Amino acid sequence: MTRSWIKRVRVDAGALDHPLARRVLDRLPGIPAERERDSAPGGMPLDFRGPAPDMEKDVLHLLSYRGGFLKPCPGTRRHICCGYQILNIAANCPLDCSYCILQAYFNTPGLRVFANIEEGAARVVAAVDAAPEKTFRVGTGEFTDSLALDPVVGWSDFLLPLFSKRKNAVLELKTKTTHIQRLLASPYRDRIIVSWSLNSPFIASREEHRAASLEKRLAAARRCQSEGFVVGFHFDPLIPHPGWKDAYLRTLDLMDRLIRPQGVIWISLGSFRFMPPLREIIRKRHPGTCVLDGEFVTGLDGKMRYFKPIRMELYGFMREMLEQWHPDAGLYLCMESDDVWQGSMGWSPGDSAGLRRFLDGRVADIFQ
Amino acid sequence: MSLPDISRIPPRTVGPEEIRLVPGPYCMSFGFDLGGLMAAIRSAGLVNPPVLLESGDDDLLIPVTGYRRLLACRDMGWKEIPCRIVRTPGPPPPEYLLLNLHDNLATRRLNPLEKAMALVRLSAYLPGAEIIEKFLPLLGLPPRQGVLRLYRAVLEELDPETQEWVAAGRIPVPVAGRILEMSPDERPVIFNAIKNLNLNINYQKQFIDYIMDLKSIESRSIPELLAHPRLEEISGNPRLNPPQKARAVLRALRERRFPRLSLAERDFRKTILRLGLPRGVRIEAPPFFESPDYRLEVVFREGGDLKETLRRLLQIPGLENLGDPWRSGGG
Repeated sequence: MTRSWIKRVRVDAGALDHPLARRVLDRLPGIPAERERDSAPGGMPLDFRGPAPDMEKDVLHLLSYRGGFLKPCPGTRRHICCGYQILNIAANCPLDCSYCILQAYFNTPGLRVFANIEEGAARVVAAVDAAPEKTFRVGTGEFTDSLALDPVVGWSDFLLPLFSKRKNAVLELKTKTTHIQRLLASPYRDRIIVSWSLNSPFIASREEHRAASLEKRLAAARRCQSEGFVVGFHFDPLIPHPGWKDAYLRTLDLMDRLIRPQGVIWISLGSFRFMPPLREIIRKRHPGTCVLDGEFVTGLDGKMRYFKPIRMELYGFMREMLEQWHPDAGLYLCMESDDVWQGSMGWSPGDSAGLRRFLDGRVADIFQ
Repeated sequence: MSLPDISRIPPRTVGPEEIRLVPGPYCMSFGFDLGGLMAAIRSAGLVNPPVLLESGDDDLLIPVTGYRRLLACRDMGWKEIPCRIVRTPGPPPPEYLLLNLHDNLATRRLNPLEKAMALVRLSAYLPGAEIIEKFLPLLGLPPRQGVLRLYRAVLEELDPETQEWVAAGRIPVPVAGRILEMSPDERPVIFNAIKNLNLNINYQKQFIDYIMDLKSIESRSIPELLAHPRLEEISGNPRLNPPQKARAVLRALRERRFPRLSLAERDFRKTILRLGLPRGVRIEAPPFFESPDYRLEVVFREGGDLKETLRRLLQIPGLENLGDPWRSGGG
């Protein structure tokens, strides 16, 4: 699947100094590869004035990343943040979800894979080791799908052993794919969380282009669970649509049939939110989408969010149904305010530190 | 490209019948009024002689610069117009296009359609990257590929009447871009609505946003959306003046686009009215009810007034129930 997505490879000269780049090229025989000078930015910057530009989701760009590899989730003003740490392995995603915020976040086309991630990850775990009193919840699924390119890049080959050995860290691989072959082939399980983004069947089939079907995602989750991995789920973004309650219930029914709830570390709930410029980009790139149909208002952080009672209704319904499935599924809200927590979940961690404590506690309980 | 040195060519007089007086390959004039120019020429004469190119085929001279000046002189009945004539062997070079562009930029601001004409004509001779880097900034536009695409579409795809509004600054280019995103059948419907309601630029943006969202939400065509009885009632209401109609249409569309928010706002307003707040007291909901914090404003002159107002405020029954309107069943 992944190999058929990639039609071209762009390689910065400096990237070839890293073994990962050579391994990727070896895994893509027959795919044209162009070399670029290090200074080349890799295509014209994306410009969404006028017709939608090509985001080059079929171009794999291997380059050395010069920034820090571990960054805290930027969070958002006046909302409670989970304190996740982002391990920056790549930028842009081969999947093409209509609601994806990365469409507005990155202004450079192509799937940018950081060839020096092995060195970067080694520095990250050194930082983890230097702070043994702290729990690092690290994830790679913020700026790309954690596993979509794994068959070609092989991130899991070196990330799993690195994190599996640490007692004060977990690595969460977040995906909408079924690319779990490398995970299953690995002997490492401890401190690794494989999580799937889920949605209603309507949204998954209509808006999550190139992603695996919900049945396949949950079948992959079941396989991982049966092979000893801890799993998590993210209902984010929740999107109300005609018949949304029944539709989300269908997903929960699938979960109920395939997943053992005791092995789930957490389930996050988040409603669709976006910075205003994304609106035009979505409109241009996904003309038939329904994701902009909701009643969006400007939130306290400047992002567009559903009108508050709609968000509370979404969360309240999901909480009620998920708690019927399992009363201790580690439910939490992503980027919501204290009053929305109280109104929809019946409790609130109060602030970001409180939510971090809650999630660190889940880690401690599951990975004793 | 280097520009020919026109100043070395002495002007000579040419009759209007010797000139091909239609917008030619170098013309960058759109949506103009010759009145002011004619008055200026009457007062000061033709200070800057137009430049004409010998075409070589039908013996008529082609305007390189000064198309509007030539029209003005002709319309004033001039039989002889001083012009500079340039000759070129073979096909006319693109330098004449630049001559026209710089001649225009030196004396006036080009309107958006004229900028589009300049960009499209330059595109015939120059690579896109050069136009983006060099000529978009020269025209006061950001050097982005999307901008070039948008201006090209404004010139090549927009209907003439909408183009006139864009040229006159009554529809900004970004709004024209939104109109261009619609199907060719929908564009005149939206344009006519903007025209008939005489929407200002801010209202145009809101209007298009609401219409495009409602089109998706309700799965209706734009003509069907605009034929809604409430909108027709507003349009046909003789008691409303045009600005009132525009505001009423936007309000109706907003209520349709944001039904729950509109209901919550209405419920909140009703609740405040029912409370009968003392004079000088105002309670405001947070924007979109997003913050949990409401605002109380009390206007007073002296502490005694304040105390009395607060006393009366505290005696209002039901004040303690004030809060998010959806919690009491609304919204």
